[in-house]
Amino acid sequence: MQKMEKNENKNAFSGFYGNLGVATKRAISSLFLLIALFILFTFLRPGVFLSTNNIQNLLQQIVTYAIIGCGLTFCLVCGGNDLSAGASMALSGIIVVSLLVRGWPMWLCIVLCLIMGILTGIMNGYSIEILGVIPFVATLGTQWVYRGLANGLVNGAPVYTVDIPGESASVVGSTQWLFYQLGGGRFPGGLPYSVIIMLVYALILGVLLAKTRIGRQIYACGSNLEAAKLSGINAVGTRMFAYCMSGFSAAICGILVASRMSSAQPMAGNGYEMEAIAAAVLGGIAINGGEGNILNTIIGALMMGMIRNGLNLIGVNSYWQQVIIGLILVIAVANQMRRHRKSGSNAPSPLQQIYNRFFTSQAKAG
Amino acid sequence: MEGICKSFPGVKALDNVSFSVNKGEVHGLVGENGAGKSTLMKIMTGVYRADAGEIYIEGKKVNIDSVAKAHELGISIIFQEMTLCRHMTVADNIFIGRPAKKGPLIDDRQMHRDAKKILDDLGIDINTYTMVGKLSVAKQQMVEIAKAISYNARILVLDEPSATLTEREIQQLFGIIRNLQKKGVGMVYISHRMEELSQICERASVIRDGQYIGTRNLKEITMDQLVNMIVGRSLEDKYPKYERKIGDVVLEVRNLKAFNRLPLNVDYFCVRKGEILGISGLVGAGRTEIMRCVFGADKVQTMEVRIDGKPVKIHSPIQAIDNGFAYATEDRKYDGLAQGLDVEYNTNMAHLRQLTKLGFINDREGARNAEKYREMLRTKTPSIRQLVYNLSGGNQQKIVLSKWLCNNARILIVDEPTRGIDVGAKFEIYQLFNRLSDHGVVIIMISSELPEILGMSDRVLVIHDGSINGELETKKTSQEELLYLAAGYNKLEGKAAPVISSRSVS
Repeated sequence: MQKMEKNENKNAFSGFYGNLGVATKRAISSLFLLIALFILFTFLRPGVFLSTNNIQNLLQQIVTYAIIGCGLTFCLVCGGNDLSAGASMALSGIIVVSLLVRGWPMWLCIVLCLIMGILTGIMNGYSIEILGVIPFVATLGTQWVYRGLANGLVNGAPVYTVDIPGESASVVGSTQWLFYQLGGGRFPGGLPYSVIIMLVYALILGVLLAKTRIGRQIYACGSNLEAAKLSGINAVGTRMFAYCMSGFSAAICGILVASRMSSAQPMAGNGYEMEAIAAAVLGGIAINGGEGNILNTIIGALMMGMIRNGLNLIGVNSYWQQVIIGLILVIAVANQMRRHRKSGSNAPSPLQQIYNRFFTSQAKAG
Repeated sequence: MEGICKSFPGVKALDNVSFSVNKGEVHGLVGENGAGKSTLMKIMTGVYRADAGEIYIEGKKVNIDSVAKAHELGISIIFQEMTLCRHMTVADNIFIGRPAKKGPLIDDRQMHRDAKKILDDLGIDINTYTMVGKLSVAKQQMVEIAKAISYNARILVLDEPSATLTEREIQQLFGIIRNLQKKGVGMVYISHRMEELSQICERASVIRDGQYIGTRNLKEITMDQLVNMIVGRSLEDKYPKYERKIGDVVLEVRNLKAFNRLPLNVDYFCVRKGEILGISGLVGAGRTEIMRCVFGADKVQTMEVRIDGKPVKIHSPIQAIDNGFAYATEDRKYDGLAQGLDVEYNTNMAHLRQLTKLGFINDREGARNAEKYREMLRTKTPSIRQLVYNLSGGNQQKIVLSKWLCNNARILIVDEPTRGIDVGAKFEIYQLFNRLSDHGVVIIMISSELPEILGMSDRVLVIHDGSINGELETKKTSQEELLYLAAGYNKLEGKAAPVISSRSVS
């Protein structure tokens, strides 16, 4: 009963707050949680947690899954899913470094890599939308193919940027130096470039999702595919676009990671797609599609990063971190379900929709 | 039930409502959509809990805090949406969760015997071994009733049970209800159809805007008086009288052949400017399927469409919309609205291209558009940011219509436009149709309600078995004739279907 009253009060201060979308409201509530976490860790490890060094580290850590997460947000909001992001990230790293080692110009390597990312999306979209393969299997298939390719192309051995022809990375202006700057470079204060790249990228994707026609169409398809089709929305194209965004983001991420590590590992990015999904869900992206925006994902990524980082600082090892993050994730989804039940809508429950997402193809079969 | 109050965020759904049912009585519960009928029933059956108020059964105060508790007290509800497991047999469904057992194993034989007994008692003829998914909607509903009875229900709530049934099925349902009445089961019958109430109920209670208005003996009150109580204002007529100016032929469809869910074979039909064409027929005759084909939503083998005499190609809804079509679907939840998005998103869903500049959506224009149609259709919503699933059926339907109206559609197909909508909203929607036809919009109206077809349309096509079985002038026909054709009796008697417009028109 108290919950009800609370809800009423929430509606009461209508005006500005009432005009915000559900996802934004959810982002705001996640933000409170984020601040709580921040304060918690600040008190647990005073001095250390808040040090410039640590904050910069934290931001650097979240770059990967924030970028992948932004792309995945498109898939999730559209009512789909993409399990191939991690593998496609590894492949893009391998491609970019291998080509650089062969002496190709850097801009060309990067462009080719990004094109590969988009092709991944088209491939996923094609099998899901045209062939009618269920998203779970289609993207899982792509994951295996790409992981295999990444390993096969280099025989399972990492490629190192030191093999790039020309002067070494210590020489300012050389290709090696330039490539390293992308992911590993820092501003004079120590803030990594890649954090800025992430923020700008998130901003662009956020605007794309919230303010453009294709963004609107993604929401429509995720919320009610049938209604969207009958409203004259090109559902196949829209969903294809969402998968392309995911592939594109994975490619960017692959380049940044290869750059920072000065090498491309064929096993890089293993499981990153799951981390990205987890971040998105933590931030409040509806697991059942049609709700959520980039802000949710970024907040979710920050939360993930902060939990990881904080636990590190208080001396919890990475195995136990996984246990904790897993539990938090389940609680986050349970919370979504509870909200869903409370809203009293007759739409299928999130559980049902998760099931649908993985095991039924929403593409028109035949 | 006494002094029931219930609030939801933003609305007071029920305010001090009282309600009673006697043993062996069928009590009608009526009110506009969103008046609070369903909420009241959900409180009675333990789905929601009341903020205030008390419930008594046979004089004893009870506290219904869960659906299970309601079952225990003998209160069952049959919702509009079926809650059966489609892949299980009839008997399995009736005894779901509490099957007859022989040791640790389920005693199938015993269970089917028990199920058969319950069904026989109610006079329902269904094989207990049939999969529920294979039964018609009407039969599924009967299984639901049997299931409720198997819980020894003393009070049974029927929430718009007739919405999806045909005339004959409704009579069957009434037979079962009368059977139950004799057994002393008290029933609450929620319906929008006044004729049914007068057939089956002794008393009816009216709720309006969450307030209890009154209970009347249906023998002592005329239908018009009852409608007045529901709406709170007098309705001159259920259907606004209107003289339509009918112009030239706008849409022609020829040689429509398709085989999706059922075979369709339509030779020819046309609609004129400013005309309302009614599409009648039994549920499952293929009315919706034909219109889905015309709208490009389903695949066809052959189809020729002409607009203003010019042939046009329609292979997808996108092409149809480009050619001025609009299609307000039958099922708002399934393919009409994105329920999880807000009013503004839904209003502009088919209108995105016009709002887009260089790929960017003009939000201000979109909001203005949504606001404009909200005022025009008098949609009741706290704001255009309200999520659609929080609105009542009538208001949702208005959103569906505004979605298409803002596209300046020339040919509006509406499928069961007033299903599950209260009297007041119905009237508003009819007036809207009249205004549209005034502007030369062609309206094709699919409806199962014969009075609606007769009251609103100029010409009627009767669909039987996926093809047109009769074209009638509304003024010169009757409900009986429509039913006769809809059931295909003329084919049995070897008579040809009546035709007005010939192919030579074009």
